[in-house]
Amino acid sequence: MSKLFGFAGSDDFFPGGSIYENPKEAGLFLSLGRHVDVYFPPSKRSRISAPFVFNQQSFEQKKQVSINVLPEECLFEIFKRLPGGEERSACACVSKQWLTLLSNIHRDEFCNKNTNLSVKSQDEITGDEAEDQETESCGYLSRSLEGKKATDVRLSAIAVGTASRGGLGKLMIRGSNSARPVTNIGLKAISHGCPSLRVLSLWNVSSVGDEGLCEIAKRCHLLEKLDLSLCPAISDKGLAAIARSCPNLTDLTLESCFNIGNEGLQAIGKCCPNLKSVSIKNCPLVGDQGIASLVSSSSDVLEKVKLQTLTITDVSLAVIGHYGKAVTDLVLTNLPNVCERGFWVMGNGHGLQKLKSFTVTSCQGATDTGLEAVAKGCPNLKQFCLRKCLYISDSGLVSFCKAAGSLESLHLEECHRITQYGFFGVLSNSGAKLKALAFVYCLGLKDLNLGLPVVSPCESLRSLSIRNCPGFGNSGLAVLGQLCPQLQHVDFSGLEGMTDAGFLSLLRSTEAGLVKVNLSGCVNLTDKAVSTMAELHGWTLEVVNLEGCRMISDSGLVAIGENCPLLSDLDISRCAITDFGIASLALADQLNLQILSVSGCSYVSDKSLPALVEMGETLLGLNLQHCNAISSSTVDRLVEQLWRCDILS
Amino acid sequence: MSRVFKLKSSDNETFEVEEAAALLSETIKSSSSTEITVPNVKAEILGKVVEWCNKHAESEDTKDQLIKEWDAEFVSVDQHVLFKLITAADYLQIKELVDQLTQRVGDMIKAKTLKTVEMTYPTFNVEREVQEELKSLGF
Repeated sequence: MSKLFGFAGSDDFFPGGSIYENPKEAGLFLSLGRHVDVYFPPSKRSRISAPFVFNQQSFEQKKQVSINVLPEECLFEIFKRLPGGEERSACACVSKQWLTLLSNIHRDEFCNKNTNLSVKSQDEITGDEAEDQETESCGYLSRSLEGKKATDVRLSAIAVGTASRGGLGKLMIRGSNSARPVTNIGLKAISHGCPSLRVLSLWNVSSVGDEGLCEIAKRCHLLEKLDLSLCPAISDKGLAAIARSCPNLTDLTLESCFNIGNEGLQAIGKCCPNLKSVSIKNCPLVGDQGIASLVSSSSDVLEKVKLQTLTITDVSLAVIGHYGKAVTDLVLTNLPNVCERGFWVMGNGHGLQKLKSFTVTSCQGATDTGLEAVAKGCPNLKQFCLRKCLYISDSGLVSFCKAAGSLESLHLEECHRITQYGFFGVLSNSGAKLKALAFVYCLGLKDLNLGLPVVSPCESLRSLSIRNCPGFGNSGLAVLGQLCPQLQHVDFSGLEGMTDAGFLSLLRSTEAGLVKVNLSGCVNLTDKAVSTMAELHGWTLEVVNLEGCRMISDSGLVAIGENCPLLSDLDISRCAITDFGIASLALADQLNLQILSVSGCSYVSDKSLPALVEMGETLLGLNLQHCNAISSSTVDRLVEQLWRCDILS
Repeated sequence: MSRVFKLKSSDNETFEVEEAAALLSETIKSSSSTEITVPNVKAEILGKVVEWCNKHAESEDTKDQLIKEWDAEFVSVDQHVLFKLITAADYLQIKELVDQLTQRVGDMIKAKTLKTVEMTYPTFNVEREVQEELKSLGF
């Protein structure tokens, strides 16, 4: 046995006397106790035979380099035998070479249990190791790296560290460090260390190519969601590799991937039996062939389809119409090569039986005929949203509503051909289920002074939005009141043409109580409208938005305070209110506001502090931005006292 | 009639090894001659490797408790010697010896803590990133 200890040559570590120049440092090592070199009897000087023990400042001889005489394969073997996360992390911090070696060891290659050579007895293997093994496979953790922080080194650290802390489940990389970008090497490390990866999202990472994705495909078989945006170096090859190796893939999102085309999508369609959601935007190489094979292969499972800015034609829509048996949500945006025929064929394919939500934006094929065919072919269509469509006419819209018997929500935006004929036509011809109607920025919706149409009212409509439609005014509102007696939510933002008279006629004809009212930007409304609203609907009002209603003053606030016990969210930004109004709100016992915005109210000053504090008992959010008369010391006091409340100033 | 192999160290000392022991080394196994020079390995270390090979050639059952204890003592050397032994065993491709030695290093690393490792190297940007990431995981 003495042979083991009696080495020839000078023993540089122990020059005699105290090992440490600074006795305090001894504490760190002497406390290691029996884990260290148990064969040395205590009477000998303790030989701490570990690679990293000594502080450079304490010793002249730098013995650290000795482990670096070992070739990489041996270092690799050593790292494979590291018992736990703590040790692997310690080694990962030593140098970039060590980090790289560690990050290329597959999680399952680690020999977790000691071999028969263990110096320690079996019961010294601590609980930590058992825990490590249990939590390793679950993929609990998420990491999101952006810009400067997105480097290969960090990815390697993540690969090494997360393995024994629950495993990495989601990885999102947004952009890349410009000097040391994320490359295939980083993804390779992740694939080794994080085989339980479920979600991978790469945005604007131009230095990652097919090789990186192939590495992920090789080892991360549990991948469920893949999101690639602005990754020009990735092509069909990488996508196909993922397709073949990741049968659990449910969500695929591709945006601006200029080298991904039909072959990649075909592979996905063939190999991913669980694909539920697909979103493809601005990929010029993707054409009918890819979409068609994808949709037809995933016919039974594909639920959400979103296609934007692609060169696909009517053929793709025909395939969707025939094979989209499980599709519930369909979004088509900016498809310049799709014509009316495409929509017509899609509707007549009779495959979209489960379609619930359909959104079309900037598609020239969305004409009267095309849309009517879709309405007829999709008996379960509940939500329809049409944007930037110049082709649909009043009669087309009415035909659509007649055909879509299950329609619950209709949203039209920038459809300038629609006039109030169409608007009222919708109300009178919709099925019994229409609950929500919205017209946004439709320039054709001008008052036509139609007089009262002889039609039955739409009893089912609960929510109405007419936003930024400049011509819509009082006469339209008057008719509206008659036609929608059961309104609860109204949004008339930006309706500058509305005055008290119009709004009052609406208020008086609604039988149900209004719950949410948004009148922001309705600059011609006065306190009379607000007081009447508070009196007639105070029992049900919960949310009131009067932002920018310049003529609303304290008397309107007083009426609100007195009549609206359920009000929780009030926005009076840029109204002509003063401290008196705020005080009256505070005085209203029954009022329990949670969110209050007085942004831009120049007449609300420091004097309102006591009132705000009193309301602060229930306030969760308070907006005091641009209140020039409120000093910063008042704001500070408010922040102090209203600790539960989120204050913007 | 077993052959006798001659292993020469870098400081020109020769060790004679019986065939059974010598063939534990893949390098020797695939070598055409019986005289092998092991570069960069001094006699002291080569001697120990030979000792290991002799011991393991003798007893057939490596799971024997006695052998295990012997092996455990064999690897309980200080790091200086340990790394030289690994280099030699790696060159000679004696898999089991390499396994035992590297396991020993792994065990030695286990006994240390992150703080200790940090102190030995100056903090470059590379490691700061790594430390940040690992700290966030609770290491």
